[in-house]
Amino acid sequence: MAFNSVVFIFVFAPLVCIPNFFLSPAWSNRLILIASLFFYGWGEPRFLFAIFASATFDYFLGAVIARNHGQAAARLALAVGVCANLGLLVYCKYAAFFLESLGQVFGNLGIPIPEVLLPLGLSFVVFEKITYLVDVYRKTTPPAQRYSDYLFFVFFFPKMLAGPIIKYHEINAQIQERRVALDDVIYGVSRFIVGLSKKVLVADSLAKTVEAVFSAPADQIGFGDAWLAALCFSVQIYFDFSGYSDMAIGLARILGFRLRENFNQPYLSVGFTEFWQRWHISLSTWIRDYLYIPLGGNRCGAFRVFVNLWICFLASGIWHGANWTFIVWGAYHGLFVWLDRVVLKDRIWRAMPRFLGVAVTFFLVTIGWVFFRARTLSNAASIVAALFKPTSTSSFQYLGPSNDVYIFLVLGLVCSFIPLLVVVGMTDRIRGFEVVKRVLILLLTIWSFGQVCVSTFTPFLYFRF
Amino acid sequence: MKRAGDCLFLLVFGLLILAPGAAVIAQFVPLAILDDLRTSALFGQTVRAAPPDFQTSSVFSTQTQAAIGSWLNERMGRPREFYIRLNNSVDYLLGRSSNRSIVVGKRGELFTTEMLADLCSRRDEGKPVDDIARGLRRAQDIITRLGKAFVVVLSPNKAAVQPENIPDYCAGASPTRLYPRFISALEDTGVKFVDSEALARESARDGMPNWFGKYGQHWNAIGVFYATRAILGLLHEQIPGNFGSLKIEGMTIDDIPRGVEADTGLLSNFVFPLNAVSPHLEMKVEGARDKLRPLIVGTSFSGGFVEGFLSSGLADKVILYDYFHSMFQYESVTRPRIPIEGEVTEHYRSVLKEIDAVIVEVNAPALRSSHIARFVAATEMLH
Repeated sequence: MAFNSVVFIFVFAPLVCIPNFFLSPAWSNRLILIASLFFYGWGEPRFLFAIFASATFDYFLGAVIARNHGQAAARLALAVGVCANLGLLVYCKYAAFFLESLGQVFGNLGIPIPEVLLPLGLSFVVFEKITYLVDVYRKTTPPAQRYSDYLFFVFFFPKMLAGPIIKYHEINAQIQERRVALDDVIYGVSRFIVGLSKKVLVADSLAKTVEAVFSAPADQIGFGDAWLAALCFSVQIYFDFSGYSDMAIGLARILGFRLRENFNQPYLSVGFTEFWQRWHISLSTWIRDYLYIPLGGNRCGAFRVFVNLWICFLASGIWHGANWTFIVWGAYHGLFVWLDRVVLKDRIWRAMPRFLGVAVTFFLVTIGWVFFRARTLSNAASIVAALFKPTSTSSFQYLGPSNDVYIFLVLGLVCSFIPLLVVVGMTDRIRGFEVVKRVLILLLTIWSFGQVCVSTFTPFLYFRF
Repeated sequence: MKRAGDCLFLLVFGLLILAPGAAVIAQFVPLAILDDLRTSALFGQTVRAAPPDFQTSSVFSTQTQAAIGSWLNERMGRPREFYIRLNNSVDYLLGRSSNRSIVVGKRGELFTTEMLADLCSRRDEGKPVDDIARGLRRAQDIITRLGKAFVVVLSPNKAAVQPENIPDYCAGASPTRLYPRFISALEDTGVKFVDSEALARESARDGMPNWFGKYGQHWNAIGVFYATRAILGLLHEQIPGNFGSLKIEGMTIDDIPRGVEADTGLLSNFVFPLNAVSPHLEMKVEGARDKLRPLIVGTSFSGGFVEGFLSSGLADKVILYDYFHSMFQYESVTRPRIPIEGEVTEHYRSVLKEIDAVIVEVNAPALRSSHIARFVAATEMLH
């Protein structure tokens, strides 16, 4: 059940959020847990039981770790838990990819390639369950007092499908005690609508052009269309992903929970290090806390730091998808993060005006997005080549883009590069601007609800009167 | 004051989010006061949602969930209609359509993607239309040997005959466009045909209004008049009988499209009325001693011929094979059509005794439509 679906917006969300406002925390937890199980089961009924069983196993492992701190049993339980979770993820998401890749290198090995459907949100859920076990082991968080509390943490529906990746200690206190104030509901509603608008009004408007160019024969894509598609995808992925995070944070707030921010205007970054402090923050902090630091982090020699960075960014790349394009994208980012450390940050970024650093960083990030979006490495390479051939023109069959693509591309770029905190600070000082904001939210509500509803109505074009 | 503002905001938002659900509930509450809430006047045929199936296998494959979603969508009544119409109107202002088959051109003129693809496509698909032309020639030979007349009508592409408002990215007719190649193939094979795009240019030179309305994808009565007049000419060459000559009895121009003249606009489901320059033409046959008995095999454009033949008095009865799939009999423009039961090829075999002309209509953006092949195959079986 996607957040931008008719069933979620007009049926599920009101049925959960309205009663929740009037319930005590204990009854609210029960309602939200049942709703979360229903939410996940609606989209993935077959895997509901698998995730449920996995969560139950982790809960008991957490208890074992907590009872045996500092002993071998705790370390064993942690190892079993991490391996079981990673094993589930590797099997569902990467087994087929690894076997196919081995087959391309070594020929037919006679190993049957499993046909496994990746459960929705598995990548996020697995990472969260690993954080729980590791944090209990590190004593960062006590184990869940109740089994239902742990299930709540795993299945909490606002963040389940696409993050943000949360840690148990960030939500535990809120599970036990919280108040839902009217201000929370208003903030949550506004945040949800902003996120929905970002996704269905901006991101989806650009998706058609991106799809048309990226699926065209690689040798038929010209300079103009390549840049248009690359820029459109830069805006699309940011608005789509940050929009989803906004919806998750907004929904959680309506229910009385405060989740961490996941994006902080990443396209205003200078350098890739800063980019990863602003983009998908919950993932980058997870990789820092649970992979980079355990590998040694910055405390090693220069070569070991270099290796650690590459491991982390390759892991980040492949986490996003089972394709060599994601691995290359991760390596690309790893390369520039490493270059930031050795030369760029001190010698290049500091020497240039900030706006130029932002522009160069955005240029480099946009090229990286081509690998992220392309179907294959050769497709990506062809598009990147077209980006640097100003005289090339497109020759593939393509109707468009229509003018609205340019409108939303410009709107998206402007919103990406305006420092919103400054704008919010300025508008807060204007009398009556709160009313303007509320009216704008309501107008966006009507428009974005319209976009959601229209996807459910596709009349035949030719018919008899 | 702030609290009042907060409550008002939440009240309005609550109405927006709860209205569709209320419409679903209203489906089951038989109160007349709820009629407006539960009914939806969206225009266009869609695939009706099948009732959800609650078998375990369907639930586990999420078919049940998808069916429930579709079932709920259909019952969200007026609120859903409001959201869709408003969204479509905003999209129209932005120069786009939520319907993937519709394109908004300059000055808000509506086209279909098929029209633009036919006109601007850079693809070269070889010469597929030669086979189609040869098939039509074989059909013509068989039908004329049976003593009937045979005419092929190429109904026009709006984007080709009224290109002034096509989008800029459609930079004019592609050199690989199939229409002129099809004309050449028909000429080479000796098929009797009507080139309506040429007639459209003649009509423009005559100072007649456009054949297509701003919001329409089908030709109006002016296009039907010119094509029907050309058909009559070809029929007189092939069969005995005096069917008269077709004249324009009168023409009015208003801003109220009728019937198919704004069909694309109706399908777009806007909030605003579809006012656009709309010529309405009355045609009449003069000097006729005989009534034509036509069988028309065609697309949705053939509806214009049906109306033209009957309203002008050219024919008292018209049989239409819609895409050589569904069959209808028309006896009046005011009375509903009569569906004909049975299998098309069987009916075709028997109806040839009653008719004196077979008119095959082919639409320019869809020259390779399968109804032509099915018609040719059925005609060859007669032989």
